[in-house]
Amino acid sequence: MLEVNSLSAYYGLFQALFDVDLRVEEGECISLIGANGAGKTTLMRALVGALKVDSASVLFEGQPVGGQSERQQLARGVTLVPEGRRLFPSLTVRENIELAQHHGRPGKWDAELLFQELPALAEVQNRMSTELSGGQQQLVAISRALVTNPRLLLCDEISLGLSPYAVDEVYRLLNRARKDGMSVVLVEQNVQRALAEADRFYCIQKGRVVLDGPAADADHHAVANAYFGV
Amino acid sequence: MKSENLSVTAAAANTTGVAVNKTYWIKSIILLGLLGVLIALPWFTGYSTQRLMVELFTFYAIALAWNLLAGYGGIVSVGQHVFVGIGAYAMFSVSTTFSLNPWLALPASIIVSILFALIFAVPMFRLRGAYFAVGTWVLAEMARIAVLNSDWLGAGGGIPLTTMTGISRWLRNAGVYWAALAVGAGSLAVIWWLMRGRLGLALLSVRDSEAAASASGVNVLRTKVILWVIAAAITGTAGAVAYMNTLQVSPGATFSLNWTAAAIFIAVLGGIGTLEGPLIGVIVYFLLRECFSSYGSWYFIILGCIAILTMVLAPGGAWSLITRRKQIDPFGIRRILS
Repeated sequence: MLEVNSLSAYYGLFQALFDVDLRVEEGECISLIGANGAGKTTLMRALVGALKVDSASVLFEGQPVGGQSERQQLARGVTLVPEGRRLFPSLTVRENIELAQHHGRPGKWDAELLFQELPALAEVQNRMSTELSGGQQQLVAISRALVTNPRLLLCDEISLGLSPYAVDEVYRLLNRARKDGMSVVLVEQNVQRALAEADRFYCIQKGRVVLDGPAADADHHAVANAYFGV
Repeated sequence: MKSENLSVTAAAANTTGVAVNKTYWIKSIILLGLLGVLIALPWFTGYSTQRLMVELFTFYAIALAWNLLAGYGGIVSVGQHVFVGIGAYAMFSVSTTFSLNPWLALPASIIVSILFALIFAVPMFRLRGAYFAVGTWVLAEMARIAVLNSDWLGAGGGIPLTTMTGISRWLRNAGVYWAALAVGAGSLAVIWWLMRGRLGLALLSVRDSEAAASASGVNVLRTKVILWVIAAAITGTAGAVAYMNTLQVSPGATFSLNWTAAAIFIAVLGGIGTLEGPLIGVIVYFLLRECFSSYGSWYFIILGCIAILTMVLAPGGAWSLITRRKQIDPFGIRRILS
C-alpha cells in the first residue's frame, strides 16, 4: 500500500533522513522505534505531505506522492494524528471532530459512530476541548483523524503523558478502527508497547533505518542496541 | 442503561430546542423593530444626525471587517484604508464617467475591491505575521501614491461627486443614510452567517493552530484569502458610502491611515473576536469624539490612553467586561477563548 524508497528529507541544509526504505501493507500496523531526534516525526511529516520530499521516494498504491500537500494526501486516505494532540481550543469537542469530517473522505466513520463507540466522549461533546483530561483529549485527536476515514493512519506519540489506563483506552480505539482494514504507522516511546501493538517494526537512528523485522520475534537486545546506538 | 442515557439527552435537547425557538422569536422581533426605527430615522431627525449616523455605520462596518480578519482569522492588517480608498474611488469614477446615479455605482466598489484584494492576495499572503501587517501598510501607501499621480483619477485634487447634483437635499441625505445602514447591517448579517457555517469553524481552527487545521484537511490559504476578500468588499463599500457623505474623494484623506487606526481602536475597545465588540466600540468611539474632539491633540492622547488601558485591564475589550459577569450570547456564535 505504502512504499518508501531511499527517502531523504532536509530542514534547510540539515539532512534529517538518509535513504530510508519502508513499506506498509494493507491492514498492517508498523512501529517506528528510535530515540528523540532520530527522525521519526520527520518521516511521518514526509509521508503526510507536511514536508517537501522527492516525489518518487514515497509511493502510495504505486503512485508517486512524495511532496504532495497534506490535503491531497488526506483525500487519498493518509491522515496524521499530530504529536501533542493539537486540538482547537476555540471549538467544542463535537466541532473539532465535525471540522475534520467536513474536510475528510466520506466513509463509515463519522461523529455519531464515534460518540457511540466512546460514550464518555459523547457526554462531553459540547464542552470546549481544553476542558477535557489529557486522555480524553487524545481520544478526540484520534477521533478527529478517524472521521477523515483514512486508509493509512499515522500516529505520532499518542500515549505521551497519559496514565496507563488512558493509554489502554487510546489503543482500544485504535484497534477498533483497525478491524476494518486500516493500516497504521505508530511512533511510540514505550518500546514494549510499540512491539506489542505492531506487526513489524523499524528502528531509526540518526535518520537511518538500522534494524527492521517482524515485531513478534524482535530481539529486545538488538532493538535496545539499535535504539541507543551502542 | 445506554438507551436510557440516550433518551434523557434527547429529552434535554428537546426542551432546550423549544427554549431556543422562543428566544429566537423574541430576538427577531426586537431586531426587526430596531431596524424599522433605524430605517424611519430620516423622517424625524436633522441632517447633522443623519451624517453622524452615516459615519457611525461606515466606521462600524470597517471595524467589523478588521475584527473579522484579526479576531477570527488571526490576520493583522494595518492597511485596510487601501480598500476604503479603492472602494470610494471606484464608485466616484464609475459614477462620474458614465453619469450614473451614485447608488447604482456602488456595486462597482464591491467588484473593484474584490478584484484588488484577489490580485494583491498573491504577494501579501507570501508574508506572515508582522511582515504581513507592514506589507498591507506599504500596499496602501503605494495605492495612495499611484492615485496621487493618476490624472484620470483627478491626481492630488481628487474627484467631486458631480452626479449628486439634481438630487434633492433631503433625498440625498436620507439616501446616503440608508446606504450606510444597509452596509452596517448587511456586513453584520454576512459575518454572522459566515461564522455560523463551515467557514466559521475552519477560520477558528486556523486561528488556533494552522498545523492542526491543515492536518484536518482545512485549506488554510484559501480560508484566509476568502476572509481577506470578504473584508475587502465590506471595507470598500463602506468607504464608498462614507465619501457619498462628503461628495469629494482625495488621495490624502481617502487613503488615510486614520481609517485603519479608528477600526483597530473600535475593535480593541469593544472586544476583538466578538461580533458584539465593534458595536460597543463604535458607540464609545463616537461618544468620545463628540465630547472631546474640540480638545485637539489632547483628544488623540485620550484615545491612545484608553486603548492602552483597555489592553492592560480588559484585553477582551468592553464586551468581555459584560460577559465576565453574565453569560449572554445575543448572536449565538460565542466561543470561549482560553
